[in-house]
Amino acid sequence: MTFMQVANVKKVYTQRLGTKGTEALKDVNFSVDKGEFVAIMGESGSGKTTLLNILSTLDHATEGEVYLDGTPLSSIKDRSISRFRREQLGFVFQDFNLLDNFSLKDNILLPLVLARTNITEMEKRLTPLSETLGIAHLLDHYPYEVSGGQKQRAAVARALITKPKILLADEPTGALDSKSSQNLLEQFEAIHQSGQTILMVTHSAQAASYSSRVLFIRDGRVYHEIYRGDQTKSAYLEKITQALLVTSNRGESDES
Amino acid sequence: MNLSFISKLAWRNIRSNRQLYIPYVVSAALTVAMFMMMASLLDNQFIQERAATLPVLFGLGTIVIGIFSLIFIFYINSFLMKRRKKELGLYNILGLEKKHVNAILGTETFLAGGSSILMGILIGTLFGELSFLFLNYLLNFPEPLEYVHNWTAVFMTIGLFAGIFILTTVYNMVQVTFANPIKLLKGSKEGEKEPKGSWLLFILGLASLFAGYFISLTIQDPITALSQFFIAVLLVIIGTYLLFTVGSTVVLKALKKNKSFYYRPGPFISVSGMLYRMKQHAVGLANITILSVMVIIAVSSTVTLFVGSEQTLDNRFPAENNISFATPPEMTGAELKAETEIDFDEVTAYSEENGWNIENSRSFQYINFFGEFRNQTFIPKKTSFKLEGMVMMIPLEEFNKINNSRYQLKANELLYYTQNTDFSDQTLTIGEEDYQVNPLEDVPEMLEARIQLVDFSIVVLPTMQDIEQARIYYNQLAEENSSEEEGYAVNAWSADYYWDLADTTPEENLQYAAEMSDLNETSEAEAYTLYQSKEVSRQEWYSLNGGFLFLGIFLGGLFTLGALLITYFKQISEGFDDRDRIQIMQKVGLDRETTRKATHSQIVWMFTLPILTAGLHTAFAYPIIHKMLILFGTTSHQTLIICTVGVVAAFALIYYIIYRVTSRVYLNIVE
Repeated sequence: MTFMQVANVKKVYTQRLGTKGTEALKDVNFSVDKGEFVAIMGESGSGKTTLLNILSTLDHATEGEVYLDGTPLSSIKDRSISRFRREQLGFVFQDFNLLDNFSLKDNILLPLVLARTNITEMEKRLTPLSETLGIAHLLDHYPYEVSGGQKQRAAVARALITKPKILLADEPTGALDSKSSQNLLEQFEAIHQSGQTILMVTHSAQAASYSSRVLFIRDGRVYHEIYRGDQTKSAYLEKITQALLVTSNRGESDES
Repeated sequence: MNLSFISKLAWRNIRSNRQLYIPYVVSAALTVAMFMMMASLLDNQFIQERAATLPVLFGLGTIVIGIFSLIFIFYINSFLMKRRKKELGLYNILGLEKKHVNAILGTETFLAGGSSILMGILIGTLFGELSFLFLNYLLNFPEPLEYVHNWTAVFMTIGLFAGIFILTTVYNMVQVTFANPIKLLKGSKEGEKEPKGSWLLFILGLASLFAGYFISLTIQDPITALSQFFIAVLLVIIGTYLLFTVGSTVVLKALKKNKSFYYRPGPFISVSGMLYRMKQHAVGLANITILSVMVIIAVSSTVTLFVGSEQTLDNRFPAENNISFATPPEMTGAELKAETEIDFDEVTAYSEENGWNIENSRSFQYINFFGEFRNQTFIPKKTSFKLEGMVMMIPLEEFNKINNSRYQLKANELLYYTQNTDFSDQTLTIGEEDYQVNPLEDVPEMLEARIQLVDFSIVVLPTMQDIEQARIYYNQLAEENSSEEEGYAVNAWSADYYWDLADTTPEENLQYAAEMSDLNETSEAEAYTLYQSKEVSRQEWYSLNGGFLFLGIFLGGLFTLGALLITYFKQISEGFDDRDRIQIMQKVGLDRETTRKATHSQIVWMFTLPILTAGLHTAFAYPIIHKMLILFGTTSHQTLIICTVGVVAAFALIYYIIYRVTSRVYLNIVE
């Protein structure tokens, strides 16, 4: 069942009026099914962050449309966009984006507070989530008092506490060491197995190997995709690495 | 590393941190200007010459502004340093030694501080000059006040602020030297810790505040009021800073603990933000509070003086024309009586001759004995400059005359009026006589002004002879003890004559006053006579109180500028602090409306708290202000209360506007 549909999305950045803009996205088409864990891979400058920004309503597409659960994103009015973001989407950022003036607990509760959820409901959701993510003992600490991996897990908890339709992650392991990365990705895998739809942007094949499908993006287009299917993780990783290798070689041959 | 490299680096730092440095230099320069204007008032001719208490009051005011400047510069420095710690830590990691970082910091402060002082002096001079021109034009006094430029003020300003900037540099250097680079790198992220020993500070603050209030509430007379005012002010300032620092933390923490309150969008964002920088926040609020109180007191007291001028004149001069007689100690009451009658006959004759119609003439005579009743006996005071206790003794006949009353007294009975509400004695001993006490409830109107000034009581004795005996008795006592260093005061008769003229204009009153002064000079009376005209005094009075009003408005404006400065600086610096946080929150679903709501929920703190505290301080300062105003001749509670309430309301409005405008600046930065 198609859950998120990206149809003919194009994004042009114009710096000044009249100058020909930079085409960040040319013609992106793909769809995400409910319960899928999709990784989007691409080198820097390939347009993956632009794509994520459009999916997360932080930016608008120049042409084309994104549908989430049947709703076209462009139909959401500016006034209710924050609310939409708060209720339907969950975000995990590369640099965590936790607030130093809040304890981890308050950071996690932030979207619920903004949604005016009552406190008993908040705590009811917080307890199991923080236990799953292994940060229950850190809830009263402040972000500058815990490690990067712990910060990112708190950020994941913040993204999940609203029970979003889709979790959007932008290079979630980008600022983490390998052990923390592995730990976080295992969490993602577990979350995915519990039925959560995840869309993750990454340039790490290791990270992508935890997904159920990888989309490759280059020069503003999706040019390849790999399904994990029944493969073992190492076989899947092998395939992803090969695909990356092939594309980079092809890139060179294109240029020559 | 050579000096030119360091100064180049320092200059580049200032330029690349101009978002931080511009508000810093602007705020510091305006603080310098504020102090500069206050200090130049010290040499103002009006302040030096018009009233003995003014130089003292303005000296105290300058000290308070100086202390305030110190606190404020440290306050804006703390914002700057917090944001710069990361950069300084980076220098450390990149291989600059701490002494190099210190040299850079020192140079930066030298540049920023130096330009602030320079700009401040220029602004102060210009603004002082302009505001004096404007106020002179606005209030339209016969004698315009002049703004004096003087080098003393300039040097004082330079000295003070150079000292303050050096102190902040030393403070910054200590911070950099004793912190490790990693900690510096994180410096701008870590929240402020709760102040240490908060209970002790809380108790200290409370004690200081109550001591200040206590001084004001228990002040006995105007003269002590003046000398203790400064101590009370200092105590209240210290109390305010301490209680705000400790109190706001306690309150904010309690609010945070109240989950159903805290976990709502507005409080969630604002309470956590305030807790994050609680000390800075508290000092900012305390600064605003102190300045608000200064505005309110400066303006309301001078407005009261001005508005109350007419009432003051009525108090001092029961009639249009007044002659007071003072006699040598050996003169008897009967002799004075004869002399005043001759003198007044002369006045009457002269007036009739020249076509003036005298009406409402009245007179009375009395002796003011220095001392008080203790253990039912009159105890004379030693001579000293303090006007403490005074007992006015009036013969019954004289008293009934001015009071339009028909009291009767038997021999060895007296009428007694005192402000001491506990008084319940049945007999009083004066000289060698015992008297039965009959309480006197009301004071004649023309004596009301006197009872306010000092601890004053009135004794009405059956005959002039009774007072004569007392005079002789106590003067003899004084003579016997005259060899002592502090003898007793010598007592002598006084008399007052009052009269009006029928159907005269103010100009005619002035003319009559001139003629009377001349006549008075030719008087051959043995008693010393002083003629005073209400109309002449009225003119002097209005020019004096007009000058006070001028200074009050000037100071009010100056302090309002200070409050504006703090609010502005607070909003700008917190805006830059909060920008990243708000943007992160917007990413996870904070909408503009809620951002605005959260900002507005700070109104309770930023607006209401300083104004309410300022109101409370003003209320407790009321007794001491009232006492000090008595020194300047205004006694009316009604006028003072109305003026104070009016000024508080007006200032609250002005501050509200300042707050709203600056909070828009904040929102613009954040969004």
